[in-house]
Amino acid sequence: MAGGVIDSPEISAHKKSEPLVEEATESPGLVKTLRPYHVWALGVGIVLVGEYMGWNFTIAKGGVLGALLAMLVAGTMYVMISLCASELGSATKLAGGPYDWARLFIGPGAAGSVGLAVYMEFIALEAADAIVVAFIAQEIFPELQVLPVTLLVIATLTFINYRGVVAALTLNFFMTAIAFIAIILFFFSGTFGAFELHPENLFQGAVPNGLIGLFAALQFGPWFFLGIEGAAMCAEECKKPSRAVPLGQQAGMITLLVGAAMTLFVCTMLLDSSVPAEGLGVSVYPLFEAAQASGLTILIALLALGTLLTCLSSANGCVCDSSRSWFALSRDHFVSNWFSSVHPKYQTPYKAVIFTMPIAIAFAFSGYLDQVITFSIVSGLLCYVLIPFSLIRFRKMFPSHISKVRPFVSPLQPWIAWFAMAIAIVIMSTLFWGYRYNLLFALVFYLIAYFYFHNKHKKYMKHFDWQKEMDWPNPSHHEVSKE
Amino acid sequence: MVNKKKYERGLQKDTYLIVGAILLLILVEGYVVYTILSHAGPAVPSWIMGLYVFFFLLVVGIEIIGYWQVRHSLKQHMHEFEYYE
Repeated sequence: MAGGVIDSPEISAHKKSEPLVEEATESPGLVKTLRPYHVWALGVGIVLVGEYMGWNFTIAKGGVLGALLAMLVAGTMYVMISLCASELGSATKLAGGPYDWARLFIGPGAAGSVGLAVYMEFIALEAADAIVVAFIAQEIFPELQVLPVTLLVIATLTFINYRGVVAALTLNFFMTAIAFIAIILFFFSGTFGAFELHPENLFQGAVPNGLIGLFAALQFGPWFFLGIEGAAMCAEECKKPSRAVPLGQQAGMITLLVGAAMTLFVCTMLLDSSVPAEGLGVSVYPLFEAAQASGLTILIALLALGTLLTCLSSANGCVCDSSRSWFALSRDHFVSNWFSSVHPKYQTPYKAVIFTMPIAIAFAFSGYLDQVITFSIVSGLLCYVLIPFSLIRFRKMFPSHISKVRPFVSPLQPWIAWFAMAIAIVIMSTLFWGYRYNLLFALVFYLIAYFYFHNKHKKYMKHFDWQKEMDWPNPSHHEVSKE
Repeated sequence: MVNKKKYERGLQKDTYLIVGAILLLILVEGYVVYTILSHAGPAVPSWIMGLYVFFFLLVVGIEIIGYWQVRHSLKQHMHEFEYYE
């Protein structure tokens, strides 16, 4: 299986004319205009919602110290994953992201599974975000109903993404920037004494469930960073992908690390976490409630706005990433080739974009929001095993660091790739505390997907011309690509 | 004809971004981890504190090395890939 790749006429036509010097051309494929701040907006836009809500389940499981450990362990894993993704994204410059990396460096079974996992991860998150936006809208305007508002949010974001990736991600940039600035202002207001902090909360809520709680909290650690790997999925639409992807994605990773630390600090200082079943551990909008506890109207308004904007930016980014994954799967015949069309005017994968809508609506109205989110996390964790593995294979197949193949060389490889895989597996195993059936269901689902895609695409597997397809030399052990 | 000044300015801007982000990361992450551990740390055995220090050094250290590597990559390839055109 290793090194097995799939060839298709569409992808060949797209890639073979790509010059070494990356130019802002408008090929019949996707438009190539995105800049580093768009990459930042896509990655942080998807993830920042997890710092406004959801991360605090770590508090319910493991108290303040459980949340801190989860943040540091998950942070370590995501730093490693994002470095792997930056190297792979800037090298391959393809829209499918983790799917394309697995396709090129692992094989069709893994590629199909990870492509589907990315699609499910982001579409489930989009559905959850849209529901939360509807609930917030209903709290502001009680006469509104959740169902039509959820539909409206999904339809509007789909339309924005249909019209063009630049507009969608520029909008994401402004929404995400406002939400992040709100966190920064909140943190510095507290540390410089604009409102009273309560350090005694830290000791009282340190480890309410004992030491086992510290490790049980790990399962919610990904909330702080879930989806940052998706930033590299706009590589095919970047003007200079080998600059935009690593610069934007690592800026995004630092933004999230800083945002996570600030959020944890102000929320634990202001809200009680001594009883796991009450207070911060079960709060729906922890940052907003912490702002309310500060008593400053300007901060309450800012964090309320931030909560709303971050849900919208997350859903918006999810439409972008899930549609690219589906588009890439379709381009290589993993799913119907009908979805691989690019809009002649807007240069977006418009059929794949539109197709996100019915699936997101189905997830949104399944009535099992927590199950949907857990499925999204398990799908993400599967990606976090396969992304570093793709990098290990990439390094093995192309060991020399020539700029044509590897314009960005991530440091400390392959050790951090192996370590990231180990942490992902440990975090996945902690899901047995409370979500064992979800975990088993997801693993069986992706195992079936693996064999389905592997068997379905045997006929497409053939000798891969790296020179023609990627403008790369042949791999160091070329015989593996003939399997 | 390559405009050298333009490229130097472009790389300088990117370097400011990278250095600023790294400094913010060290300051905020260090302050938060230190404050929480100094108040809540006594609630757990001391060997567990080592786990926090280990992962704190890993997350901050790897990100600093990684982001600095991005700058190295920009400097190395800026003319070849015409980054600042």
